[in-house]
Amino acid sequence: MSLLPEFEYKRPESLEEFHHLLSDYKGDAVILAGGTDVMPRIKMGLKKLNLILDIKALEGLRYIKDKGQNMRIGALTTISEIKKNKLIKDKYPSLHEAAKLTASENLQQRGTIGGNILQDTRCLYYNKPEVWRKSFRPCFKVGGDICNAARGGKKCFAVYCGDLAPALISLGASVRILSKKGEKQMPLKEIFTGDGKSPFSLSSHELVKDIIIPPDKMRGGYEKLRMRKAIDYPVVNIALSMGAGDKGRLVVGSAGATPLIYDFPSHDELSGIPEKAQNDMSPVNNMYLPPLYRKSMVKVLSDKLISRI
Amino acid sequence: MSEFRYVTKGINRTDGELIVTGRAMYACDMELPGMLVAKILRSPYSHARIKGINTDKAKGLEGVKAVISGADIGYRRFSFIDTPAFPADQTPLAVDKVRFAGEEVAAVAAVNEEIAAKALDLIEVEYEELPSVFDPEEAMKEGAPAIHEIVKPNTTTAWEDFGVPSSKSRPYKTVNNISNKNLIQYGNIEKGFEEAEYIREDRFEIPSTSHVAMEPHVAVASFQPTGKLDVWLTHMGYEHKRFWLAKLLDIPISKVRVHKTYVGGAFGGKISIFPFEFIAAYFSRVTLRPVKIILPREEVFAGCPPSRRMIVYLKTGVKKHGRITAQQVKLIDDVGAYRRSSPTALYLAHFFRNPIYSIPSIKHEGYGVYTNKLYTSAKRGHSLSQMVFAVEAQLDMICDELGLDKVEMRFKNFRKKGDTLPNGDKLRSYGLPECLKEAAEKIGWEEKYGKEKFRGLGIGTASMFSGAHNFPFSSAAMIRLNHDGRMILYTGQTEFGIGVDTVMAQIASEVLNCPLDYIVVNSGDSEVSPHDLGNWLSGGIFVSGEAVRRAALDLRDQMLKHAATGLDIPIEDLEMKGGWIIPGSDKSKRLSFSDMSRYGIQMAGGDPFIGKGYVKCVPEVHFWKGKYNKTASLSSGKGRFTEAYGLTLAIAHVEVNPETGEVHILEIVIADDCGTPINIKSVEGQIMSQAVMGIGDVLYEEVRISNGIVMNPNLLDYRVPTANDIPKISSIIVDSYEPNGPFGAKEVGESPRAAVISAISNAICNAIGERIYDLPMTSDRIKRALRSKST
Amino acid sequence: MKRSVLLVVNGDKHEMFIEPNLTLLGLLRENLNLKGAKEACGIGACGACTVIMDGKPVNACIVLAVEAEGKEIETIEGLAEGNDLHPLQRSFVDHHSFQCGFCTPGTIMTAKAFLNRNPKPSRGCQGNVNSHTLMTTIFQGVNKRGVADHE
Repeated sequence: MSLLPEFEYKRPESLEEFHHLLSDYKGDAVILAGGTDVMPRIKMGLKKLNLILDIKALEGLRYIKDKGQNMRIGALTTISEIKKNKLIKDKYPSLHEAAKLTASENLQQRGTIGGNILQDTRCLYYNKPEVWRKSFRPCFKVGGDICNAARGGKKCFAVYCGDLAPALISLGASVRILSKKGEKQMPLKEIFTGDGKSPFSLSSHELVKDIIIPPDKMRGGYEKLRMRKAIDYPVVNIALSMGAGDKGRLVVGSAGATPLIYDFPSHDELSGIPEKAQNDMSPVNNMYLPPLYRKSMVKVLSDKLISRI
Repeated sequence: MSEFRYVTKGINRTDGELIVTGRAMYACDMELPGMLVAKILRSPYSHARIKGINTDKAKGLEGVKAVISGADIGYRRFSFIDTPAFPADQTPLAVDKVRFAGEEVAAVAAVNEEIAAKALDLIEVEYEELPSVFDPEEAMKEGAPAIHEIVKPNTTTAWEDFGVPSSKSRPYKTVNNISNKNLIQYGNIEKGFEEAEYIREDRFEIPSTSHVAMEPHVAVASFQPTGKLDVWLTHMGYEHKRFWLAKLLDIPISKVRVHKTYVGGAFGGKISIFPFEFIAAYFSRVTLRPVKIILPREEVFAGCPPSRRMIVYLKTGVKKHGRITAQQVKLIDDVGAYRRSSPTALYLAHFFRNPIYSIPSIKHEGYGVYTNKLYTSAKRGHSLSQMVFAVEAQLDMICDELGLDKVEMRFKNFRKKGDTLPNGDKLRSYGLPECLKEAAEKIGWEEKYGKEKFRGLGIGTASMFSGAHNFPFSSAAMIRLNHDGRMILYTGQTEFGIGVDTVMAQIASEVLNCPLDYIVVNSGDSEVSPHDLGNWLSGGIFVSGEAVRRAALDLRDQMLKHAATGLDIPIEDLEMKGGWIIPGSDKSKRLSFSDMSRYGIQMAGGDPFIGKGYVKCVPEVHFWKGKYNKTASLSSGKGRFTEAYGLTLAIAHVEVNPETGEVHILEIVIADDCGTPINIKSVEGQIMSQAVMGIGDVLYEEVRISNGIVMNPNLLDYRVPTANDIPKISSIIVDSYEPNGPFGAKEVGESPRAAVISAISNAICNAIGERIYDLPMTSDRIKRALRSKST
Repeated sequence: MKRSVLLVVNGDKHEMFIEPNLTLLGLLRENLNLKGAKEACGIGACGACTVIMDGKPVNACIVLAVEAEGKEIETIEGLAEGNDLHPLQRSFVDHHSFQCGFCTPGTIMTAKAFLNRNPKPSRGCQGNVNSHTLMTTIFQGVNKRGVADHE
């Protein structure tokens, strides 16, 4: 059996209890939903933790609500539920397609939208068991002072590989975040810090409650390049959504610590974006396939997506 | 084939119900009272001197029962190959220095895994890093860091123990990190190239790929106070395991019992002996408690040998019309830190492909070279796929250059049924031309070739021994009649996915003409079964299956003889049918098998009716006290190696996305000459599984080692095909009969993989109109090739 | 700190006192001695440990045993009814849908969950890796359950 470190486990049933548990807590806590991404990380010793807070029992975080206004998707909604939702398929094709191409059918039934959005960045030199990492000096992401992927690099280049966030950002989605102090709403794109080491601006006491998508029906889609036709994280992923007057947004994922975002006011402006996006991406050799290939796929995938929408 | 009653039929696995209910017992499922768990500390460095190991703190941890390091067990050496010329070069735990990152340095046995893991953290090792060398061609140069010092054997080598005339083991010194070499020549290579009208020289590189057996490597050992060792292992034949455990622990072989387990896949990766197996047995002996080790997946990847990394320099001369006149091979086997089976690999690389094409002059030169990397091993067609990948790639390039038809070119160079190979092996059956004809028709070669943009077709071939002269040399089987007229069949074959119990029961039923459920198979238990070749070198059916056939024949003869006496009817008048012995002259006097059992006990002095059968893999290769020695040479390739070759030809049809370099395999057709398929469904399964394995080999798989560190030691970064990646695959079994095999059967378990690898890779290169010389052909490499073509 | 959990496995109620860092796979294999589900990758990437939890397939190697509190777990051991194999098990035997059989329990449980929500499949089991990779025959094994063969 592969081992897990020792920790405490709590399963709050209400938000009050959740906040109470967290605010009193002095050690490191990890929030657990589907666990499909975080559990392997814990097994590899990548998360320092004393407490697991399992939020699956929290009331009222699992819903897809659309009353003609904004759509609200509760953070505990599974990827499978999103994939199967007819309204999402009809109104937000980029999100539907992204859900369809996430991991595998089994994992889609367990993984949640909240967890998928907040999955930590990845690196070929980081997502490995502790024993393996002993062959290297500690890198930025584990609290050290070097980057093992880009020797001489001055920061962490770990890559954000989420499938759903690029699609949601293309749709102009926001997140509602709960903390003891109350609720706040911010555009999804703003939760990204751009730093591979700690990619999200959320504090450890905050919880994503739901995702809000503007009401207008969008045209769009999602392209994901992955090595195998199931399970794999993207090599590069592109989401595109556009509304009335072909005003819209193209988002490039797996480009770095944060998705690259390109707004365009009309279809004419869209045509130059793939090349610009490709030039903007400056990957390092920290994923399975080489950086130049990943970079060159940005335009290929974007063009393919644009031509089919 | 219609005359068979049980053989050839796609009979369901007799142990199928066990598997689908989760009741089949694998080594990892084994629990014993008081069992300890052991864990291994491995080196983070690829080359370092061990200046000191302090295990005191680990020993002091509550729950820890034993801790060992190299110093405790001394210089007990072992290897896959251990001959006077190539004495074993590996110790179960590193002594003095480590030679690859992942090497075993110390180990702990504790009451549970958590405590064992904590204890590992308490072991202090002081290393002094040494310069490493990772590239075999660099390692061969003068002045490269020396990985091995002089090996001074302190015991006889395994080959001497097996009976090879002793030439007294002598100190063995490695020069320029060359672990071993071979040179096989026939014809006249200079003349061959002079006669050629076109000559090509290319360099190909094939990385290690992992076996990815779904069950990780496991050892459970239970040493008894009586001095007996019981083990449950993940393995492919118990003879090697018990031989080495006995030798390393200095106990008699007869006191080591390898119990039957289901093995969750092996593919060559669980062959021979591994340090963790010795460690489990050693701990059990010093604690007198059962000990279990399950290697975590990352240790399987980083500490257990994957397939061989090989560089192939290939030079081929042809006539303008396509007949090959000469071929010269320089093979560099990047063996990693320890030699293991490299001497075998270097000769197999030649002999496994030798039956395919008739080439008048050949020079095959091989070098096994040490590097500071994970050592390597056999994988399904040991060295076959590496060699054939290069040969078939170059044939396609020659065809493209000379404008030759790729199908014709191969027809022109195939050997013929009845040919004798230069070493004396005979091709009594040879279905490759039929394979090519049928596969080309099925895939629509003529209609499709060269007519589709970014689509391509590729051919791959392969051949494989059906057992070989190497240790364990032979197989035997026994079959025993019970009072109820049923029989227990004893065979040493291991169940790791081939359906041993089913096919052996089919063979025995066929001989004895009795219902399949009359045969109860007891397989893979070293204390019960007679000597067995193991599931190596694809001799399972050809050798062990033939032993079973002969054992059944022996039992049949014994029963008929006694029946004739008992009935006072001439033996010629008796027939066996449906579990009865029936006199043709008076059917009412028939005797059941159960009658025969009672007859033996009551009337024939207690004769228990035990049939035995045995087969020597290659009867004419033997050694006995020097005098009658007739052996085969791995380093010169002289002498006989096998009695029959399985043959495969595959054709793949692929489409490449020119924008992304992604490959979409449209179809794979595999035509196989395995002689008579004993169980058609099992044969199709073997072929299918190798096709999928080959897809992984071409598209994704590579144990990627950077500066000595395995970069993808898990199933997310090391990618094997998922269900969604499998295309349409069909198999054709060509009509063929191997005179020496049981009911005409021969090998099928290893050659299709190599054929598929060549077929897919050739199809990809055909689709893009550009050659890629290395595996795997990942999308970035294909894209790069396309880009280089357009510039 | 150990916790007490109550769960139902193959219809049997179990009250267990367990550490929070025990996985569901560990609970099944070590504590309940149900050895059908296997650990092959340990990180949810292969599916050999698949069991069904409240009707859904989960990779038991990345689910905590405490997460299964109050849940109903189905494993391969509970699939046959007494001496009668489940149709899927029967179908796997009849189609030679396994070789070494190590991943078979996980694959069958994935297939069962899949057929529960999708009785007329074209292709399933995409989260399962099988190195003997008889996927075609596995599809046959899965699809044979009253549905036309798929190739």
